[in-house]
Amino acid sequence: MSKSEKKIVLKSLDNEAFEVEKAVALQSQTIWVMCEDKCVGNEIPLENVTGQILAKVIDYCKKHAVVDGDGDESSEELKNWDTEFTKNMDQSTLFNMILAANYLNIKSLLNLTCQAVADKTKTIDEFHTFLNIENNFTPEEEAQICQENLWAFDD
Amino acid sequence: MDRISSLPNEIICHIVSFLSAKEAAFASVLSKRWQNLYTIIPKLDFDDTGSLKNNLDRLLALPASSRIRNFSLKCRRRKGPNHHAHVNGLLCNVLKRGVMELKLDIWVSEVEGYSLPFEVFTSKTLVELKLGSILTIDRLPENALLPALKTLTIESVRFSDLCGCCAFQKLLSACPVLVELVMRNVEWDFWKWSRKVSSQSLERLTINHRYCFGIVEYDLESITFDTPSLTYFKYFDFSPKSYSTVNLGSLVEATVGLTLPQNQGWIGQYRKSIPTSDVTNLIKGLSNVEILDLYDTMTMEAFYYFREAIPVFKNLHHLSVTTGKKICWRTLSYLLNKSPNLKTLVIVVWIPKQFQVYTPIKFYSKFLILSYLFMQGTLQSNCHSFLLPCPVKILEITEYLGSKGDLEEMKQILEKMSCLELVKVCSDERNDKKQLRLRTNLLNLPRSSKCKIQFEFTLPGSR
Repeated sequence: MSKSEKKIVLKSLDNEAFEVEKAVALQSQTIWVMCEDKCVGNEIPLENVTGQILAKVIDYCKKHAVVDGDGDESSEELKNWDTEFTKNMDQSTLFNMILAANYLNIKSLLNLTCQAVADKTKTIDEFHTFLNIENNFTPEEEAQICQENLWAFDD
Repeated sequence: MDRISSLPNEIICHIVSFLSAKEAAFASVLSKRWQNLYTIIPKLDFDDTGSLKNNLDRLLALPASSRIRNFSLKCRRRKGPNHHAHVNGLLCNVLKRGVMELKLDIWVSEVEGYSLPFEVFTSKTLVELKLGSILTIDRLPENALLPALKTLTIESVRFSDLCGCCAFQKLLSACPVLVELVMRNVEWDFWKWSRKVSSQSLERLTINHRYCFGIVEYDLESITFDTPSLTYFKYFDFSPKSYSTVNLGSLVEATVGLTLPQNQGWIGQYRKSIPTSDVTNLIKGLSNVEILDLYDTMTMEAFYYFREAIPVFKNLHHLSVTTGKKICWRTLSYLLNKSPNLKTLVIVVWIPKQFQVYTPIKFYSKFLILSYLFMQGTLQSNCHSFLLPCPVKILEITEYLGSKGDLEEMKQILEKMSCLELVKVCSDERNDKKQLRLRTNLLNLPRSSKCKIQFEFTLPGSR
């Protein structure tokens, strides 16, 4: 295999190109299927992911590819790295990461990011602010549903 | 912008599958869409009536985003060859569903080689956990951590050690915010290696030893309580050889019942063999207590035997003691001398139904509860004329039966307690004629002119 065959170019929505090792990119089931189908050349366009997000996804894949291959880092270290990775992500980045992980079909990254959202929403206020869920209940409905879920609110 | 609404439903469900039932409830309160995407099952109780396999299949059929708040499993009969696998399958499944309260009542014998799944000890969502009964815990995972657990109840659970440190201690150290620990039917004597209750956060501790009548031999090594935040302590146990460490500096309320095997006694005619146990450190360790209840006469005897160890109870304002024998009155006088700030004293009198059989606790009937409300100051008394100088003005007697003996006791009390202004007599008697007789008999007793007698007839157990 020549050097160029081991590399692959990922192109983001905003036309940013990233050259990465094939082993790194193939953690994405979506990219793997695209490569299998040979429907694309060495350059794969990813129309749902921006360059900023793709860069982060690649960071994650690089880290995990290295560990899976060499096994020179303990799973404990990897776990810590994952925690750090999502720790300071703002809400918007985290949701875009979830969407990207879903689109690219990287199961471990999807789990990690969904878990991160779950971890950041421990109180009802956090749900309001972090998820910014639009409350579309009528006041009557809201009163009723609060009543039904009263157990969750007494602490 | 409502970012989360841009996520597809299956991703929302995926996020929910990482939430506890409580958090999932918060989210469903916020939005119709969320509410309709997943269900929160408030309570799921499985017992012997259904097949475990069917129950497991029901659970497995639920979508991953379904949350379960409370789960209880009672199965005391063994069914089928895959019984243990089914039990653990159920447990692992509900633990993945953000369960907050988990109650287990499973009977498994030690020889069956059953172990709880490690997931029980690594749950992020559990707030309340009950483990029982007849269960052996011998190993916990390396990463055991129950970061939300506040209440832990263990019933008839034996702990041992297969991983280098006692499974019980490891369990406690995996619960950083534990507030309440209830241990029922404890058999420390069958625990391997450790009888040490150690927790920085623990506030309430209840321990009940499994009482077995006819216990003759009892060999219990030392017990340790290292619980500096404990405020409530209810403790019934056989006296061990010693209490090596007792750290109960924050204690507010304590109930203590210390017993001995059948052929042992601290003092007197029942002392067939001298106990090897030493409760000195436990008595000393109670020194900060504000409300103290010495539950039975055996405990009073232990306090008498180790009376040198009784500390000054500088905070004690409410003392409840049990008497029935002379020695108990002596203990009381020691206690009173060490209680400078006592306000309320409750005296429970236990009379053995059959004097010839002396067995702790069970064969006693409650005879009288005299509740002496001290209006002011300290009681100055010696044990023999305990009732004489007593400045008590209000006396409450519960569970008055009205027998000849009772009447004689009342006569003594009314004669000797000259400061009495009000005597409340409560009785369970329901027969009108008997009520009248009980009333007349009491009112006919000689008493000081300022002393009123008040009657209250209640149903048993309603007080």
